[in-house]
Amino acid sequence: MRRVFVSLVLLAAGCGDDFERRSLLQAYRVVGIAADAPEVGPDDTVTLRAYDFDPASVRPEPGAPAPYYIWVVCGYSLGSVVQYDCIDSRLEAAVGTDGPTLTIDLRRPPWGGPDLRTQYAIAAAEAEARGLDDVFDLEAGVPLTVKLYSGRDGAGHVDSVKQVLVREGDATPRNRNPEIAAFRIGGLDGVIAVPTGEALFLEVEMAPGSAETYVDELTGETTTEELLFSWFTSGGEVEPERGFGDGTETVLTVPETAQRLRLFVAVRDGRGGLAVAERTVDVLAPP
Amino acid sequence: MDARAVALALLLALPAAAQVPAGQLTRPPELVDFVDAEYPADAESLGLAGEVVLRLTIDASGAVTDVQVEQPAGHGFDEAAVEAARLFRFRPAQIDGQDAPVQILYRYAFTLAPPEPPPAPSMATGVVRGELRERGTRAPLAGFVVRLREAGVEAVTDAEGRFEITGVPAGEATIVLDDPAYYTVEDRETVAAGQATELRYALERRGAASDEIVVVGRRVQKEVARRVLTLEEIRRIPGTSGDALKVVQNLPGVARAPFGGGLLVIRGSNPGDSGAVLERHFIPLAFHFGGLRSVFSSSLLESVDFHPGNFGAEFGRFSGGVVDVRLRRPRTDRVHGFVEADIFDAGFLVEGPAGEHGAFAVAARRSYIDALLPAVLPDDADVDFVVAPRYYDYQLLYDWQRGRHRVRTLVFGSDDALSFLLDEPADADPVLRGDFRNEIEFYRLFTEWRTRASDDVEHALSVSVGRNLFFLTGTDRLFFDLKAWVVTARDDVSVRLDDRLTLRAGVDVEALFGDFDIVAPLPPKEGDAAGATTPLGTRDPVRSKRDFLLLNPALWTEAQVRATDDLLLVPGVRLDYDHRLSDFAIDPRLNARWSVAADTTLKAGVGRYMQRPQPDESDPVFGDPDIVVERSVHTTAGVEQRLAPALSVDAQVFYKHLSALVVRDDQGRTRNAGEGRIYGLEVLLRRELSDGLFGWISYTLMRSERRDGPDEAWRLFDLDQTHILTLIASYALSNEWEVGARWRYVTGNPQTPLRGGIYDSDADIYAPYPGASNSERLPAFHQLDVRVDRRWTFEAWILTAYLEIQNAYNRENPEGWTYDYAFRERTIIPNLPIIPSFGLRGEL
Repeated sequence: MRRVFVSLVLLAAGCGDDFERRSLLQAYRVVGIAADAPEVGPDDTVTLRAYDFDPASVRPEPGAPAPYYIWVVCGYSLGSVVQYDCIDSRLEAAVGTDGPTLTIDLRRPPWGGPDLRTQYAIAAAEAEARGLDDVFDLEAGVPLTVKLYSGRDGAGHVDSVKQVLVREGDATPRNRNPEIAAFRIGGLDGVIAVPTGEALFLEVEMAPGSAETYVDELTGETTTEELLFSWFTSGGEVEPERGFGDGTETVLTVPETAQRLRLFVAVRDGRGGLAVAERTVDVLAPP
Repeated sequence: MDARAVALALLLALPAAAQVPAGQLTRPPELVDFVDAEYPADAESLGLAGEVVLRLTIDASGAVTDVQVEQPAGHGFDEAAVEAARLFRFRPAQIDGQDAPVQILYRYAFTLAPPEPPPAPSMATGVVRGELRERGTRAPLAGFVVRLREAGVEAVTDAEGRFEITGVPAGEATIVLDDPAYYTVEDRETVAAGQATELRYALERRGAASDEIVVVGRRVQKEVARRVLTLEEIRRIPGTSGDALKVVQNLPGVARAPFGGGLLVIRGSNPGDSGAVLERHFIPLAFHFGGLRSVFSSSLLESVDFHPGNFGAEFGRFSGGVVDVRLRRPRTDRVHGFVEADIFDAGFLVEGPAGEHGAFAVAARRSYIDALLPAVLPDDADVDFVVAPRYYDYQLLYDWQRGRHRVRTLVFGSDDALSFLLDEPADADPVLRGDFRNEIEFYRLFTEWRTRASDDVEHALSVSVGRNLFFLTGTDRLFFDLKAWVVTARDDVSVRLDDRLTLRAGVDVEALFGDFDIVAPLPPKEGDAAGATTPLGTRDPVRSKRDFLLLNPALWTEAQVRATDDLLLVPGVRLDYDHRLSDFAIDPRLNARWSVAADTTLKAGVGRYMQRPQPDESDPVFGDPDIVVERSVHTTAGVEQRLAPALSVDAQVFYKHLSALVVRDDQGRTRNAGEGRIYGLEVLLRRELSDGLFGWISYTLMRSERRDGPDEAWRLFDLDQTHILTLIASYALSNEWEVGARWRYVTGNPQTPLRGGIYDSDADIYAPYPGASNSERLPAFHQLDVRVDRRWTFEAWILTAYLEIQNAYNRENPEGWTYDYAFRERTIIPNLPIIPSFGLRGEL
């Protein structure tokens, strides 16, 4: 635990500031995958959408192919410490799509077999026999893991993952995605054109109810979601790159060269909910 | 002309070529049976006189067991003096009130007796009396020779430093004080007939001050791998700020801790598998935050014994190494004390007599980093320290001793706190934001009753009661609140059956009970790079909240068998029971030392050791309550060779096998499936303090490997360091100035490379793809630390100032890698740059 704390101090001290900023979109990137809805029942259908950035969208590359999207859906994974690998290959299937959207009918899992509820019941019995309790407990919720392998030749490749909580019953309200009401640049909506080197306020306004109240299952305490705002730009610099709670704005310093910028703001509720908004800014050379 | 031998008495009952530091000399040895040496005939016929300085080793009964010539005189004087001195009989010296062996320097003077002078009229003589004290410390100097040159008479000071010479002829007298440990004083005084002349002298010690006494063989050297440091050496070692426990990190077998932190990585074992014990009772924390200081004042310590392996049966529950810290008895001649301060903290010590048989000591220390750090941090820093790193510790000791009984009571504790606010989410992990707080506190009440039922039977009963408190909070995924009562008790008996056999046995009980509430992801195990590097924001926390009781009783016994005059065998066995795991371990151990020549000792040992798993590993939420204790087998063989009076070498080879190591399986559960093997060579070439110079060269060649299951491949241990070389030297340029340097070269730690990552959309962060575990290494570490001490001696106190420069040539030593947000690019995390520090110490 002391080592954890030392790590925190090192992080706070800003180690590693020499790298490319994570908010700067240069190559192909995924800025978020939203699930509609982030929490579903075992008989529901869920739609996932990847919000990605292709550099060709701001610097046209004639003849460039379209991005590719390969989805891999897994019934259960132990998470990041195993790089979201599926716990059992029998619970996994790859699905290719033409675009950044995938729809899954949980009554017919992509890897085949009976409906998800039945499969989880079988898996729970197997796990219990091996001494593992509460692994496939739909009452508590089971994370459905969806990996996305996407990119474009010559522009880069990204592995990304999104987990959708599958939970039986509706005694506890299911989590919903936050909702962005407005994404303003310099206080303005619409198309923005600014001279090089200009500094602009980026501001996002959330719809009422975006930060939901829920009961934390670990502590049993009623808690309100604290929204995390992540900003991205294809040029210039945003500072700060992230904010939480009331941090609904940042400052964009546009580059010194004329170009079109794509800006994203991704808002997360910390429980799988995500909203993404996008704007375009034209940076013009001074007359 | 008659020839006769005149013994000029004791010169010194202080440091000799000793190996074991001890407590305080409470009574110097007193010569009770003097034997005249035969005056060498040739020397007598030539009218020669001479003085021979001898080094006498006196055992606890007062018998002279060894005589060495320190300063020869030739002409047959040396042989005659040695022959006579062997027959001397002393009233034994006492250390801390108990008879103890010591070494002394003894000057044996051969003079040709002048013709008997006519009896002087009584009114023509006077008395010279007075007292000797050490300048600066004002400590009385016992056992010193006071000579009156013209009269050819002398006296020896008593325990209070007082002397008296009667029958001194009236007139001018030269008082000579020429002890080798002190600057010589020659003083002219006029002795009045029929009157007493009162004199007081404050002698200035040559070289650095030392309030330590080094006693030969006070504890039997029975372990194979034990290494002992004197506190005088400890104070002078650059880069350690005089901290006793930090010095241990410079000995063979000890890996360099990352960032100079407080980890004890001994012979390739996990840090949690080694520990420090105070009077053989475990202390939960050896160092304050960042390893800056140990949690106990070094000034209260008698000795620090370091056991990198093959320790005796009296120690248990560790499969790595043990740092055995012993308390000294506070000084009883008068009140002493010091105040010291450097850039990190300030502390004090007060000690002195308490009643007829008691002594007390009070010490405390507090850091002021919390006052300084906010002043040096830039205003726009992302981190606000609510409480910057702050620590304090305290010790209150009472030591009562009468006859065969000794009772010691010690209250001590330590408290560390750190709290800060991250204004913005950390780049590396957005869940790292907001308030963070960490507090670590423990305190103990320790009491020991030690008694000697007879000269051959010693009994010690000790109990320690206290609390461990640990609190950590930060983000909604990290919360740790532990409150534990800790009770440890020992009852140890030693019985000397005869000159060749001593039996020792004891009971050693440890109990911890309390409650905890923990919210955290599953903690990574050693070698688990994925677990260690995966951001907190991508990991689901779990919670464990419960009351707990850990009860770990143990029985131990060992025999010290002197099979021959040269061979010592120490077989022993220890039985440990772990109540929570319902598991026990029977650990037989055998150590042997064989003195094959006067300066050469061979040694070897083999033994089994157990290690209780870390608390989380047997927790039903974080681990598995069905696991059992970890096991290890230590094997060591080596040689100790004295190369010169102050130069020795100790070389050891060792092999350690670890089994039933706790690892986490692919389901996240803990299992006793791991295995380890550690082997290497340790060499310590040591120059003991002599002529103002001391130092050592410590070298370790080692390989420490693990595998996480019987079918897994062997891999390197997280902190495997192939070469560990430490050069330390300290030299007293004069009585005022002293310089020292430490240079270290250490192989870089193994690292697991990270090869990109997967973007976790829910956390807005990448989780890394780890490469083969510990398959790469950091570049080597090397660093020079230097230290300069300046000492001023005043009549009643001593002031010492030092300047210490760590990383003197500003080497950018790597301590790890840090990666970009997607784990595609990396750069090193450097250790601290050049850091000068300054300290002051004033002592009475």
